[in-house]
Amino acid sequence: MSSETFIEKIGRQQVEKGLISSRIRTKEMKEDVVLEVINLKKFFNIPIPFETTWFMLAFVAAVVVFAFNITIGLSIMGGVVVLYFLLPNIPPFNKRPKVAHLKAVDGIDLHIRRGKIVGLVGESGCGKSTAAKTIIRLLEPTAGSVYFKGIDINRLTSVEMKEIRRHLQIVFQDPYASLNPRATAHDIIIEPFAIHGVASGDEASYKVLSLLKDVGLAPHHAYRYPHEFSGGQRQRLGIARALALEPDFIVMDEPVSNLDVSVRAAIIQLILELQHKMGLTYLFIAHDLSLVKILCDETNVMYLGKIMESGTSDEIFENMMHPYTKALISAVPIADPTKRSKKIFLTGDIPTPINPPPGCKFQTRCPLVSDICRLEEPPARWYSKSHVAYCHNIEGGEESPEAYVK
Amino acid sequence: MSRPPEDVLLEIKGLKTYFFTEEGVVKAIESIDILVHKSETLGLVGESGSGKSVTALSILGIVPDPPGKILEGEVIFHGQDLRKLSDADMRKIRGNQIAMIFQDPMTSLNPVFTVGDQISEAIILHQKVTKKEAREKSIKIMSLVGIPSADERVDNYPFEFSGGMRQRVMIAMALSCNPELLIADEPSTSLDVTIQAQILELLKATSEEFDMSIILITHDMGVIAEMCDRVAVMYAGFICEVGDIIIIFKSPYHPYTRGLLGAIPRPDAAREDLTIIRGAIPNLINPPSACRFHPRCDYWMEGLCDTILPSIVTIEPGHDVRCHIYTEEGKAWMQQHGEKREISTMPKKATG
Amino acid sequence: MATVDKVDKEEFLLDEKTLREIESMKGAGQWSIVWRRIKKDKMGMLGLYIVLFLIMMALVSWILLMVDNWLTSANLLLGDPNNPASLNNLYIELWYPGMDQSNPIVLFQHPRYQFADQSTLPPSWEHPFGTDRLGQDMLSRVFFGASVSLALGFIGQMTTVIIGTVLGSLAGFYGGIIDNVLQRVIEVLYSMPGFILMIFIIVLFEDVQIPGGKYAVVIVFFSLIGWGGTALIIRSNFFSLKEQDFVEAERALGASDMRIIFRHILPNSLAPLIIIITLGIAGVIFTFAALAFFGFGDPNAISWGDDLNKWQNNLLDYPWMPMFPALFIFFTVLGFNLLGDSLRDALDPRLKD
Repeated sequence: MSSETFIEKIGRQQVEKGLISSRIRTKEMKEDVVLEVINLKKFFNIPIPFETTWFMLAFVAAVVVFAFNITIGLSIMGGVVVLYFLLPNIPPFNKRPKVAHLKAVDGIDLHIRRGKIVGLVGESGCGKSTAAKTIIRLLEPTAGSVYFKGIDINRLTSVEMKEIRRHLQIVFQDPYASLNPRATAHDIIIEPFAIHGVASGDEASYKVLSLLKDVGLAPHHAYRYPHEFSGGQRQRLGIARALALEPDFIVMDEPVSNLDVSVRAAIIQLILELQHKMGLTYLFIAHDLSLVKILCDETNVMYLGKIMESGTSDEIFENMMHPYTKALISAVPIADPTKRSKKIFLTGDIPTPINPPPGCKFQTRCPLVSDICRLEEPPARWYSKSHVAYCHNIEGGEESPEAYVK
Repeated sequence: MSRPPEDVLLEIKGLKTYFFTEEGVVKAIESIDILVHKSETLGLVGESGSGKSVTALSILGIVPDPPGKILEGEVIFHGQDLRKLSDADMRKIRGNQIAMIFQDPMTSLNPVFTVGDQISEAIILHQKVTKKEAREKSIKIMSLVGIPSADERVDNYPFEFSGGMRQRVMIAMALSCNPELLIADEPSTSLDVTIQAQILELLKATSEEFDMSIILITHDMGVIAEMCDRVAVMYAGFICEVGDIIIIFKSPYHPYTRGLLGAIPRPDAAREDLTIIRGAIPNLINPPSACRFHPRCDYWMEGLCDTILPSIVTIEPGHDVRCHIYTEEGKAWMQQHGEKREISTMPKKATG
Repeated sequence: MATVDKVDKEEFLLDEKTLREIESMKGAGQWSIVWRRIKKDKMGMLGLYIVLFLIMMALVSWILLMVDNWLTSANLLLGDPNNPASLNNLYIELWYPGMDQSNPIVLFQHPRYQFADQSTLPPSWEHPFGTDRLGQDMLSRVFFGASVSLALGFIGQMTTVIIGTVLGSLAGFYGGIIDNVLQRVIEVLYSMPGFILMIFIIVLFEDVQIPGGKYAVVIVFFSLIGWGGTALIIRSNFFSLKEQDFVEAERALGASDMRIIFRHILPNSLAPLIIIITLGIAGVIFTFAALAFFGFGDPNAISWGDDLNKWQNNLLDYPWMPMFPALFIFFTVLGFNLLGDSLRDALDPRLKD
């Protein structure tokens, strides 16, 4: 039983149940799309707690009464409980909002084809890590769908999902936090085999050694603990674990930003080598634009949960259209003292994504801001088949990518 | 490129700082020599564990003791050795003539006082002013560093500021006594690129306005390239190479500088141009002998680099390198072994 | 696929040196660091020695009592009927070369053996801790009391910790409604004065016969109301650990919740658990001694707390009677507290690296 048939089977079932249309599925199979993300949203509800102090006081009072008179005590206790749960629904107490929405990811689209490295860049708090976790269903999305090889992974049962997880992996930013401090390298890398029952005993141990070799570690590293490794070696371990089940698609969640400069290049080269060798597809998340520029085939620029501009890396870095992309790229310090560039300075700070205002997310810092930005979400403007920017106030572009398809 | 000796503001000679921990002696700084001229920005670049921050703390004499201890060396500021000063005299210099800003603006401000109180305190400590004058001065300096409506925000607490604004407050605090030297320890590392650009621009503008020298400590070659006049490259407690920014970036002499520049994505480089420094940063409890870079170096001269510490070679005035490729011993070794060790003037892309 | 379908085993045949290195790396973990830190802490080592000494004492006395019970029930009484100690079939003699073997020095008596005309004797060579009003040797009482006193501490603390850990991990891992309910229950438990509640329960169960005697009741109720603190600590530990990337990585691999809890999060919560247990045992021993002191212990049991209760009125006339049990309670609590504090420092994650 090879895994391909499993994915096909699931796909067929989903088409039969009417969960996805067969047209989408065949189209994606034909174009060799590994991952298609459509209007993905992830909101976090921050509950605003109802005051519990009064409830506790009333409850204790009821308990005291209970000691003297069971009937009265019980009825008071019941009354307190009922009030506690009903009160927030009765005016005027229901005026207070019960939750605040943190719109970490507010509708993003991605289209990732086999063998590509797709970049997702943005400043901290723009929701790129949340997006990554939602895409591989470590978090349940609030809305939207993620199609992996044409199947909707958010509609899978936990058993089916476990099987799909073999094909979707993630490498984390902090190599130390992503390794169990109480487990040896061997224990860490053998986990995937144990979980999926792929191999056990000596066979699994040999596979571990082989994986260690693949990521550039020596066999005698197997019985060391994470704290005995250097930062780069830890990240190699994290990569080895992600590779163990031979996935198709790996999310690289800032895999090198916590590493030292001299180690960084080695890890990047390892990532590229493995992609070449195993035919992997990456979603590469980063805040370092100069890295994304040389590494990624396509780049998506994210700001406050929305994609501002996306296109091939050449299009983004040579022909950027969105004011945010322009500011972001000009802000990157260039390692060449003869080319001290003129910078575009954005005023102010990144606003919080909790209950954001309507309209364009970038309105508070945008140099081109106008009245319409505060009212309406910006439309898509296509500058080529793959290059799209979302802004009210930029020139040119077409309304849909169809204009560039002959 | 060298400047007359009366232009020298700070000179560090043979500084050596160790940390005596329970695991062993961490030889954080082995030997450091630095010159900082008046109104110049010196970049101190290196990876984690290279001793950049310890150098800064050693200059100010605030190395945590225990476990840290400055064993040798002189820190000459305006012609007087700071290490020989009494604690009271040192306190007068700290924050007054030499100020420092730290990497993490979250933890370097006291959360229970308003930012106005904290800036005023720094002013009152070093100047004879009343509380009211100090407060007015704080408001002035806060608006100078670009904090909008400073007269209101002076009464806010640190948590009411964003990361970038907090770093501005830190800079305001450092500037409050018109220091001659500002030590900025990774001032923009924890900030986002767009905010980082703002803060770096602010540092650049204020250094010009106050005629102030800056020691900018960072691991980001890009920040160095944008900001500095001269740069010192540190590795594992030594300064490998120090020189004018343009020269260092164009034709580095030390193999480590070369590797470091090759390991970062340059503006017009392609994927293949990324070069690797093999190995990892050494543990400073038990560092490699002699030249600490030799196990990772492509030009390692066996029997020389691991036994004799290379002396500092002056390539041209103001450009010093600590590497055996340029020493007499190294030349003798090359002759004896009939091998040539020569650094090709790298970055391919930048030159060609 | 490029990796590991068929592994060339020849490639991984390791030479002697590497194998030895692998062997030496095995087991060299964080515990060796912890042990090194404790060894440096003089007070911690003192606590460790006290605790080890008390555990040895408790174990030896427990084994002796077991042997005695077995011999009595099997009717295998040994020894010379003229020797007062051997009447009870249990004593430890000091033998040395060239001694008068008919008259050995008796170190410990059976704790219930009453010397006919030797009551209320002050400490002497024959009775180093003196004798009580019934003519029992205090040294023997203290020696054999160790097993019950320590066992109560261990069992009481372990049961509370197990209940607290299970509930705390469930609440911490799943959060939501389970967590909410657990927290409200703990608030209710915390709002009642525990010690007075314990006395209340013991009085209620005065006449109930349970195998294991009165202390079985005490332990059951002690664990039922005492798990709150452990549960809260484990809960908050789980809360922070489950957000860690290594747990996310496990999830991404498809691991089940139980595997994540038991193989990944719980081993990382060992440090706080060890501290809770060590410091807690001292507290439990103290609580039970205090219960006994106030007369809510088991008068038939041989334990320090009960002896202390029995002779508390004789503090002024015969001070050795209450003093020695009290001293041993003091040393136990001190030993466990010193060890616990030292462990707390040694296991502190902030000191790592």
